Amino acid sequence: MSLRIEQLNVAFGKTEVLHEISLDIADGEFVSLLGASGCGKSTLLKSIAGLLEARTGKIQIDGREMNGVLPEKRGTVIVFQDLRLFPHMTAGKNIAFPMSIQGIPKERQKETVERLLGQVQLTGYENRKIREMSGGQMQRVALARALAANPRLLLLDEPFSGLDERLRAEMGELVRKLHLENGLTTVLVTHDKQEALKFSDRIALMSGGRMLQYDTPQRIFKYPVNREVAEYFGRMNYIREKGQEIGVRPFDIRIVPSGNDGMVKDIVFMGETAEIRVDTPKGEVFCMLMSSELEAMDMSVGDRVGIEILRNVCVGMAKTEE
Amino acid sequence: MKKKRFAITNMILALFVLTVVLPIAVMIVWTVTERWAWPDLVPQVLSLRALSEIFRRSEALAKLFASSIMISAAVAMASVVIGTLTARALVLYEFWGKRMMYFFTVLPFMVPATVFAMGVQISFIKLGLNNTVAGVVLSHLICSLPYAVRLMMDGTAAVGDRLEEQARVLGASMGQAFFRVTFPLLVPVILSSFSMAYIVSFSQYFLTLLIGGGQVKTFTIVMVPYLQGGDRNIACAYSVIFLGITLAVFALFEKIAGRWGKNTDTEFYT
Repeated sequence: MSLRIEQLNVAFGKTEVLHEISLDIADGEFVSLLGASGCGKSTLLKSIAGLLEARTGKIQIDGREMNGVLPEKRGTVIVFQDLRLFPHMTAGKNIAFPMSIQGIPKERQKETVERLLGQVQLTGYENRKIREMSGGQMQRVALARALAANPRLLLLDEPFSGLDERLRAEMGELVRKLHLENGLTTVLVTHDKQEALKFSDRIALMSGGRMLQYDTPQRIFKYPVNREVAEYFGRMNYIREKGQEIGVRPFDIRIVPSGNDGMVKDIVFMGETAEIRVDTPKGEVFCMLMSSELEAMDMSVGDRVGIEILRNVCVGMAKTEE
Repeated sequence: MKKKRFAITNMILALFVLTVVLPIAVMIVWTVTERWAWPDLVPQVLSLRALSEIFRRSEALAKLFASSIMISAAVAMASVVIGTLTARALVLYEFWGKRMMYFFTVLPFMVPATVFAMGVQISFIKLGLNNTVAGVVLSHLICSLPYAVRLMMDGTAAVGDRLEEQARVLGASMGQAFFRVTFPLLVPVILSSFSMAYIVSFSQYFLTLLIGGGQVKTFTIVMVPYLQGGDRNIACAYSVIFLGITLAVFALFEKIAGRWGKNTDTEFYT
């Protein structure tokens, strides 16, 4: 299933929430909509699903125009942030809901429910009441219910935001696995850059209702179109060199203990990594390195060190050179 | 500390029970009482006169029951349907004149029935609705709808449209989403607004008299003369019988509603 969005504008009353969004998603792709809260990513998801009407612009699914097509006829299923499990139904009934709407025979519904519960590692939970389940289990039921609808396009609206870190990573893996196993096309809304980088084939970075950049994780990290994109994926140093300002990521600066470019201002131990600030005539430079390297250097605050730029980020440059 | 608070709660509860049970008990005693003057604690003269008189007229009584309950049930049913739809519009949708519309739906709360009854009567006479059951039902609706709308608004706001949105993207049509998801969750509130509307309709005297013109007989219309005439035992006998029937009606409705809300094991019930 492929999705194509062209110059989509969506407004609530007089305030425009989405401006000129264009997006192309190929069959079987896993795309993340990344951005801070309030940037319009959830609105975009609802527009794709038909819960919100577009003011102008086009949404096409498999080449078919979706304007005016009702949500239930689009084949796009959302798993919402607040999960929205039906409280008056058991876990099994929740999962069977889309199938009972489609009029699938009870026997086959039961088989599918069992299979899906197995896929989300909740075998035997058919008759569990929703309020007797933990957050992680509810996520799994919501995912299974979405899959039961046989979605052409699975839309995930920050479904893991309520979970602790470990469970979050686990659910992310599960989603990726389900995506591959079921041959789905998936759009994940998230504000977590790690999540987006880790799972996506492509990332669409949004801000203020606009699409800033849409590219593969590697390219969006290496070739951000502007500073905002570059900074979303981590801190940046901007250093003037040969009359030109270049962007450098903290890990791409090597500290040379024998050199004399500046003075160590601050050292922060972060466990596996360490942060070092160096005062140079060109301004403060922020770098990161592995703690083990730091130990080997035997450096302390006040020392004079040299800095060497290993690689710079091509902010806003043509994406041709490495 | 906790035990003490428990005791206080129990006392308050006992008081509430007393305020309900005591009048009913007194009413039951009155059905077989001929004379019970102050300051005696027990009736002086007992008799079955009131009960036998009522049962002698059992055919009229049955007719009275039927019309009274039918009118109130019709009012309650219509209130619930209109209330649910109005509440949906007011809670879930944005439209021009929404605040004005809300004001008009609760206006009868603020204006006494006696004030608008005249206007209603004149309009109904023109429409040919005066002295008809339909007219009485319509006029009762004016009083019961604000309660139904208010109650349904709270219920609708609590359930929201989030679950319906979810149902829609899972493939349900608008109607399916409402009847499979929202409706079962609303059953407890629907039950409350049905009861409320029923009671409001049941206790209307002035409107029933004015619009029904004495042709449409309900429980209250028949009761008032007995109370005024000092025939307290007959009035009490009527009341007790009606109390029983009303309870039976409510039990029946709860049972019907329970079939939809069978699995509704939600916060509403706990």
